[in-house]
Amino acid sequence: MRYLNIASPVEDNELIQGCLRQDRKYQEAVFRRYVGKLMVVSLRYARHRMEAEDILQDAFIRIFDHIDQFQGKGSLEGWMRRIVVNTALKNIDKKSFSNEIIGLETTAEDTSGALPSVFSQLHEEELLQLIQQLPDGYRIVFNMYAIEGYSHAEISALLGIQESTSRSQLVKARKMLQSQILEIQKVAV
Amino acid sequence: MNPKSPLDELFRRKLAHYEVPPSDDLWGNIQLARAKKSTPRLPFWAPWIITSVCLATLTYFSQDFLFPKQAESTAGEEKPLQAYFAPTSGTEAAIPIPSEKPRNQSKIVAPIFKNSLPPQDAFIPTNDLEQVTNTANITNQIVQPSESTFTSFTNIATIDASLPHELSMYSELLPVPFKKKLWFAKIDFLLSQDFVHSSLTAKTPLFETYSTSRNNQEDLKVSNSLAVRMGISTLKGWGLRSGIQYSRMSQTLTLAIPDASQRTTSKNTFETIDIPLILTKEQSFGKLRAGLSLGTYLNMAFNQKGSFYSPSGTLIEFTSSKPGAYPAFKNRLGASLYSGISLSFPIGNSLEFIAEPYVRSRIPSISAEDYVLEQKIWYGGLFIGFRKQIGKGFYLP
Repeated sequence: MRYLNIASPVEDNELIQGCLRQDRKYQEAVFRRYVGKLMVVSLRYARHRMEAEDILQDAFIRIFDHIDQFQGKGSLEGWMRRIVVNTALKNIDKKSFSNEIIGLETTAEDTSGALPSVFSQLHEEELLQLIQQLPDGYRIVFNMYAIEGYSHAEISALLGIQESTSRSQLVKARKMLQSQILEIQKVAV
Repeated sequence: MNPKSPLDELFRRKLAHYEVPPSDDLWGNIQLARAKKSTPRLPFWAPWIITSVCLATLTYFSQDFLFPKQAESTAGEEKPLQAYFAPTSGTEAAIPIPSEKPRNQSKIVAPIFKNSLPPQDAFIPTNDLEQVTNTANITNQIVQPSESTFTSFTNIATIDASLPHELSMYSELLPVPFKKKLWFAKIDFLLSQDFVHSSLTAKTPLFETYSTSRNNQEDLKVSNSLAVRMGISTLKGWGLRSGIQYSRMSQTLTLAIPDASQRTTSKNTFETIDIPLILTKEQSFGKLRAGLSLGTYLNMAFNQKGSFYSPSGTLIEFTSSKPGAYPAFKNRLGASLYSGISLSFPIGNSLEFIAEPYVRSRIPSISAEDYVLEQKIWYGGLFIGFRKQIGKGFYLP
């Protein structure tokens, strides 16, 4: 089988047209061009790699089935990222947002103002692992707010939770991440 | 814009361009899953069609079981009806049946049950009674349709012709006032599974994009109906039916705002109660009766439950029974046009199996008057059920 050379400067528009024709070469080209970045998105929401691949598989099926709904208003990558996020959110258990971590400070005070310089020395893979170790509710809210850029109002509408829950989950997620990073630092020293 | 946090920024910046290769078999799994998904499946109405065909086939062949094979004339030709009324002894005379004109013998097979009754006992199937009674050359005083599938003329053939007054003994059989039209009352019990097509049109150009989006999301719905119809019909096949029908239309929508950034699933249901008024004309083709049904449905109630996206992308609930829900639909829908083709087989004493494919269009819009879209719907489907004749027939005053 002959594959499309994705190293060549094929525009997204051409790929989209090919996908609209259900041409497998173009679908594979889209897959190969974006799968690395989308895998990171999926890994951020999943608890482990196997779950991330399941999410990604469902997301790509949706992407190829509904490529006609992409209206070209933003980038193809942005549209695909949203589909991966929506797919990840599809099977979320709302109970995840009511689970408290015993021993973790529950005040709504945000203490993430200043970061030690060691934080920036962390590798991407370590950051990804830190996110994956967060409890479900913390992980999802942190991803949506801190990385995807959703507001608390949007998160509450998308997840069907209260805005105050979203806020408190974010604060707890940040605290947990900070403490985990400091633990890594101690071990390193 | 979210307030910046150094921790958030760190994660955002570091992971923005980070890539992780998936396992080698992911692309293959995606292709496999899509291939499975696109494997053609039976359409939702296929089980109904298959069931109908099976029932019809079973019904057709069960005739041989319910009504054993009837003897054809021995010479392989149909005999004139008079031949079946031949006297069995020299002292008995057959009742003469006038036959000024040659009658269409092929229409009437006057069969005789083998091994069950004496050969002089003649029977005419009910299905053929119409042809008998419509044939001008048959004396009206002889044939009377009755409830039973076969009308026995036993003993008529042995009546002594010299004693015409004894015919009064057979008044139950003989004197039929054919000047009046004989009517039959029937009741239908029907179930159907249908598909529903709807179209949404924007009332102003401002909402054309919105109507396109809704059209894409809400095209096909599945409906189930339960109907009871009472009707009267003549021997010539004209009939009038009315009753009540309950329909429940359901749809599972994956609602998406135009850029597909938000998706949610909504299970919407629409219930209608209608009164059908249907004129029918049926014709016999052997055991099969086929007919055309035309009429109107008068809607008595229209209830809705569910939600859809508003033009601004917010989820709106339109459940009619919920206080404060958005009134997107009417509560009563007016009239709709109905047309169908009915097929029926006799399956027992006064009982018929019916299959009736139909289409129905809703004439006015189902949307509320001040709603931004105008929504019209069409139904298509297949009724299957049973028709029971009530009594032996009657004469209207």
